[in-house]
Amino acid sequence: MKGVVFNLLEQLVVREHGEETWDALLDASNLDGAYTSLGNYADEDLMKLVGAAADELDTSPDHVVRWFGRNALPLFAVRYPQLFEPHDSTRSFVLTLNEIIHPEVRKLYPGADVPVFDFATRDGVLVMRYRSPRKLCALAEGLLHGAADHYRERLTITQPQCMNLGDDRCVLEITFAQ
Amino acid sequence: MTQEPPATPSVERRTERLEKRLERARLARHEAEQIAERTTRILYDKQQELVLLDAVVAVSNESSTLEEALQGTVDAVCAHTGWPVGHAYVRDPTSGDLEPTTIWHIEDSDRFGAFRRVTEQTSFSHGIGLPGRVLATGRAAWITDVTSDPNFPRRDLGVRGAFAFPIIVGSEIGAVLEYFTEAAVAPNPALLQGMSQIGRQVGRVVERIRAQEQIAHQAMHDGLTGLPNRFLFHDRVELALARSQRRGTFGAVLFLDLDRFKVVNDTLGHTVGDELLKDVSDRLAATLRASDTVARFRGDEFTLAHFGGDEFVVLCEDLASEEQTVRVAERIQQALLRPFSLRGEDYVVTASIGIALASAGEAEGVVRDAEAAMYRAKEGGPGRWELFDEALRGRALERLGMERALRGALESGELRLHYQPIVALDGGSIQGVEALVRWQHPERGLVLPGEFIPIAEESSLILQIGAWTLREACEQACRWRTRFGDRAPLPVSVNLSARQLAQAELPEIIRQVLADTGLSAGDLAIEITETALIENSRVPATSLVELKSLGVTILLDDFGTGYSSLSHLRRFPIDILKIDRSFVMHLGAGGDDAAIVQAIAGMAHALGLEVVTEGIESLEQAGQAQALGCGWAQGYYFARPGPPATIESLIHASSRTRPPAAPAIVTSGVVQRGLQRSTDGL
Repeated sequence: MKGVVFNLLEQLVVREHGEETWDALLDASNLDGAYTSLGNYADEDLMKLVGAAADELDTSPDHVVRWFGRNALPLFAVRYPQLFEPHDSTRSFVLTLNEIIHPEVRKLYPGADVPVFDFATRDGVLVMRYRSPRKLCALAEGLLHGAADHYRERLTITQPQCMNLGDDRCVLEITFAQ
Repeated sequence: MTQEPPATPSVERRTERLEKRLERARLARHEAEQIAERTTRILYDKQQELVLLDAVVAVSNESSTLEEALQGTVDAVCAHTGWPVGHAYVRDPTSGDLEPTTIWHIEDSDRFGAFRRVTEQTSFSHGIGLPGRVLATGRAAWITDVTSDPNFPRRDLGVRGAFAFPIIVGSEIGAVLEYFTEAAVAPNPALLQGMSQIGRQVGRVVERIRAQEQIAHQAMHDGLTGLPNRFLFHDRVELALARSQRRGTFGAVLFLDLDRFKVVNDTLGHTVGDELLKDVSDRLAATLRASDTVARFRGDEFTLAHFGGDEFVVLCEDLASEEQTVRVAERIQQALLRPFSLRGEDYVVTASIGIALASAGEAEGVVRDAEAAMYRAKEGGPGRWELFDEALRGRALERLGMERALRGALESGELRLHYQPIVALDGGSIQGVEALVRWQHPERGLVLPGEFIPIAEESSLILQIGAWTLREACEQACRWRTRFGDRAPLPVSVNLSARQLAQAELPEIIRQVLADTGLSAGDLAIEITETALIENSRVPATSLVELKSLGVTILLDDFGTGYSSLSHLRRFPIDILKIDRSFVMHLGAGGDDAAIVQAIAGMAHALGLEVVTEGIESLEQAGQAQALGCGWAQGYYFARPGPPATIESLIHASSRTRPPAAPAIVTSGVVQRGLQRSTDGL
């Protein structure tokens, strides 16, 4: 996992819950917490922090991940405005994930292991398929909501299939409110 | 006063400071990370650009056509950018507009099918749409979202982000490549810059491909006239043969050879000759295109080709009758009647045309038959046509065989020179000898020049035979001069063909032969015909003056049969006139011939020229010729042409009857005083 994800998580936790909380999460996870955005760190480090946060906040890890995704998106928008500016809607933005956004991520962070999404539109519903050993569909969900916030839209997401529930892939069905 | 030690800061104060230090370190780290990210990103882009450029160069360099190069580039850029749609617009050289092509990269033909269909029906001119914008500015262009762009006509077809760049060939835009994606995409200046570089690179490849295509075209076409060459023409004839067999129709090949063009070329120089050929080719093409000719056929069933030199061929297809091909031949000959104007002078060109019908067989055979028919047409005189038939085939084969054998004869030394004396009518002394070429054929025996010289004249063989004759005659003359001294039967006169005479370097060639053989110029005479002089209107005057100044004697052969122009006699440095044998044959039969001979002789004497009567076969003719004022003569009555030994025996015979230092004029027999003047430098 890229260091930038740890940096953003730290930024959000500190902003919402203070530096003490972040220190506590690090202690609970037995991590030293030195992350640079350019570095690569073990995926399980992130999962440990998420687990610790869930314990601390008395919620589920998925909820923490969704919260993180939704709140990290505005931070991305500040860091990389050029990825957001050409679009006027969440759908348009999301459709550039494979062609624009993830290639850009690879440019910034050589070796970044980004997932590939498969899109389809059915009856106005955007169907997004995802398959990754990280099984971070919750992060995707959070980021989608964050994007909707950014474009001042509302959307609902249902997930008929999920790798965390034993399916071979995750399917997110996104409905945009008119 | 003692200084107070600094007070130990409070814990609060130290914590505050530490937090500030931490914040500074964090800001510094973020800045460092951002700098590193930017640099990494630039490096990444540059690397990708290089990879792309490499891929484009590789794929386009492997291409042998423009289409392949563009297809390779469209694919490579799509692979690089991950954009799903790429297309090439190619510039129409005449209108200058951009025309759509079928060169596409499309990842999902269902999604982009409509866009493709509309694009393939849309041309763009200057400034219109994305391609037109590139055409107008000559630069790569980017559209973030075509749906909100006021100048993008192919709207609502499922594409949004777009960019395009020009393929610059030489200094012009040869094509515009355009790329699309489904999402709006912010401009990427670095990408556009990379694309511009690719456009220039591919342009260079296109230039190379065009050069190669031109070379391929050149291999199939005549460099001078741009018409199909022999290779391509044979191909067309093969196709025509296959077609006519299928359809049950027939075609024809017309083989044109411009009459006496070789001489025109040799005399006026190749530059003028080439210009004339171009004009002829234009007129032939125009004649064949002309509606009143073509109207009888179904469209453009003509192929005009140029075999190089003065040979043109026409393939006519889908004919209904032989008569039609003859009409085409006559139409061509008529069209050529109008003089060609070149550098202020008019030239009339005539063509001999051979026609062979093409309904079966091989292309090569049909063309060869037409060529054979052309030769027969030529034999009848300039500006005629002839249809090929079976008898001609035999003659053509014979002619080919003769040419091949003649070439062999020259190499294996089967050519001989025979000599015939020229004698003074008053006294019979030898005034010189004429060298006459013979072919000692291993099977056919002695072949006379009438049988093989015309064939040699059709090729460069005539120059080789002429050069051999000149050298051989000079060597023989040299031997005679050494052996007989003052009694040598000299000068030896050598016939020059029109083409030899047309060689600008003729004086140099003769000077070289004289130097090589050691013969004095005064012991050499050259015989030229009036026709050859006419055909060589420029070069020979200076050549002949130069030869004359060397001391070479100049004879004008066959006088009286052609132009018999007094002005020629004055213009050229002629020493001796030969009156054609046809006058002598009829001398005894009354008529005008005697008067003509007398007039010629009188005129010649007035100009200070000697006159030789050819073809004297009897004592009576010799007497008449002398009575009409001719000084010298040649003919069977005095001696037949024979090998050097027969001349030598004549000399021996005369020396047995005459003392060595005989006077120049005697009443009978043969003496050994030559034609040469006081310039004799031996």
